[in-house]
Amino acid sequence: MKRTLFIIGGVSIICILVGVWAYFLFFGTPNPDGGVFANFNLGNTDDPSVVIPVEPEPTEPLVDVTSPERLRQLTTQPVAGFAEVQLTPSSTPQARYIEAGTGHIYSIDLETGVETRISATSIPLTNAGVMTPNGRYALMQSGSGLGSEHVIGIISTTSDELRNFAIPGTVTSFAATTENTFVYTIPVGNELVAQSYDPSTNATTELFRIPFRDATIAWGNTESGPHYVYPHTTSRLEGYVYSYTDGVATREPASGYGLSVVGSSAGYIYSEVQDGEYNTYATNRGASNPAPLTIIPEKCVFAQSDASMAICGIALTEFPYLMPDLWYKGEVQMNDSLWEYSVENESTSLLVSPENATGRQLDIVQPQFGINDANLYFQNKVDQTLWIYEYRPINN
Amino acid sequence: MRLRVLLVALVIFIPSAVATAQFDATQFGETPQTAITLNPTHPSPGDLVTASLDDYSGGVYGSEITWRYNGEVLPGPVNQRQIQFIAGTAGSEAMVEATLSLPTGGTQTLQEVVSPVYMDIIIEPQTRVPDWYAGRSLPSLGSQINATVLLNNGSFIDSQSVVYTWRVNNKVIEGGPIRGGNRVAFPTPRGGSVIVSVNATTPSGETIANRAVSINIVLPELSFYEKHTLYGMKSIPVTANTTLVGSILTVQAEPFFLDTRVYNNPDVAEWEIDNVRTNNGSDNPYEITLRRSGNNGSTNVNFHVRSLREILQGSEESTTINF
Repeated sequence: MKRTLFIIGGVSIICILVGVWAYFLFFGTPNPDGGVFANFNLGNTDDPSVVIPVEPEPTEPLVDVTSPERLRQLTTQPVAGFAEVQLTPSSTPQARYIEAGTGHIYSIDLETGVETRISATSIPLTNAGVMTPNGRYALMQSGSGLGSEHVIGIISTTSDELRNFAIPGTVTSFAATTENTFVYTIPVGNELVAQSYDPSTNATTELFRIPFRDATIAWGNTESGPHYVYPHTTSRLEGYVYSYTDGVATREPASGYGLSVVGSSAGYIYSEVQDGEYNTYATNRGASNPAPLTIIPEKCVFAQSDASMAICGIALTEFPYLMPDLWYKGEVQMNDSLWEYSVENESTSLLVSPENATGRQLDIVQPQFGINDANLYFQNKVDQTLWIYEYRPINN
Repeated sequence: MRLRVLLVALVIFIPSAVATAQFDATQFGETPQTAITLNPTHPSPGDLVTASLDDYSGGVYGSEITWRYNGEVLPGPVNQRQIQFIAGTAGSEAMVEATLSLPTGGTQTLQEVVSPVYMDIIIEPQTRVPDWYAGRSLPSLGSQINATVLLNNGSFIDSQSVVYTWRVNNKVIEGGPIRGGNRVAFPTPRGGSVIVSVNATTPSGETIANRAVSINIVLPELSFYEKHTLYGMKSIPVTANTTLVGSILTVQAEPFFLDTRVYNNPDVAEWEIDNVRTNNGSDNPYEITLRRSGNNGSTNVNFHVRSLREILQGSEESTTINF
């Protein structure tokens, strides 16, 4: 009895093996190039009879832009760069962001909330980027250090392909201007050379030269500036501020340890360590005064419509004397609120506390205004996600 | 006999001639005088400047003193031998005057021109900081420091028209004054700090500005950061509170302020996992990939980087990874 069962089982196994062999004989083996285990050739696009379903464009909002809250989180993934763009003067502004790591570019319709990927060209290890306000060009940094590459991408309106090319040389700092050009610095000898690049004409222009290399540049909104330049900040070495307007350098009357600056044509905000305390000052029309609150200037941006008005992420906390080094290293994190700061009136007013509004603590970095200063965008340093705050709601 | 007389005469007269030379300043054209001295001698714009009346001749005694700044009488107590004022903007020239109404009748006016110049000494230590770090590197023992002086009197002064004398801990470097030498590089000396001073003069020797800065020397510091294969390095360090969420975690050791030459070619670069020396299995000696084993627990990770030629050029640090 048992022998019969063994024989039946053995024959069955042999039949199955023969069947598999026959299948491979007539239908081919799995394609080794594809790296797929079981390629049964279902849905091969060579076969015209097979219809591949087209994924419909999303009709439901992916991002909740209709929420009554003025402060909202736009992405859950890390973002390398972002901008609010307006394709034509009459079109509705869109929020666009560059996905960190992939360099893919997404657009969010601020009216409908629909998110669309407009560039699927992968630029691996993308960790920083900017876009022109007309939405046509992007500048992305891929990798870091000496191995980094800076790529200018031309965003297509007809496909999700990004035509791109690398900027020769090592770019140390870059930004987009309201003139739809890029400004950036490259080291040459012991200096940094600031250049502008107009992607529409492929023209490169030298803007100014910085006579040292460890420079941080708080870029202005336009090529002409003012751009504020200072040695990289540290609480243990002295820094100085230089402004460059129309290529002309001016030594600003600000210097000190832990010095960093943000500015506009109306003035600038700077912080420094004095007598063991990290303090903030604002300079307007040549006069410098202590600010009502202590601010890390990198958390501020000046409005384009009112050059004396800045929005800052401010944490109401005790600042150690080793600031901002500890914050740069990530050893200190901030619980910021958004404040409006008038350097002319020397006054501040609270706009919103993210912790109160959303229950989340945000360490605000890269604040940036959208078209007509209606929206303020920024990232949370901890997870690099993108946020929006309706600074001047359109329906108000 | 004549020779003996001559020797006696020499012994008697030569020392007295030397002693006279020490005290008779008139033979060098220097008469005891009254003058204004400034402190700082070459102020920066906006500096608080103290002007003092130095009277070596005694001629000020009993005089009425009136101070003027740019022709305007300075307010405050009269007959002061010292006044303070704020230096003007870069490139401006202001005249400080002290008018002495002598008790014997007559007046004497003393003047000093104040031309504020910014003298910025920019220190660029050649030590390692990560690319994403927004701060400046700091000097550690033996590392190279690049220093640049920028003179500005409303615009940058052409360095080729200036003679610079650099001193490190009060020792002149570069062999002496150098025309156009507004950049130098020198090794970080031993000690807790180093004083760098610069004197800038015109080619004819007239001082434009001088300044000294004290630079703290630090020890290299080590921090651990999570490195994502797609996103790159996170800017928040791995701490004992960090929990490994996935099955794999790549950790990068970042030695802040380590001499770049040591960073690029370390004599010692060792990882230890739970006190066991481990091959990190990567071309990058500063990176290690950890794989979760078991359901939960914690692992102690240690990294040590050092130069064996300059033993203080190194750092060792541990952290705990929870999973």
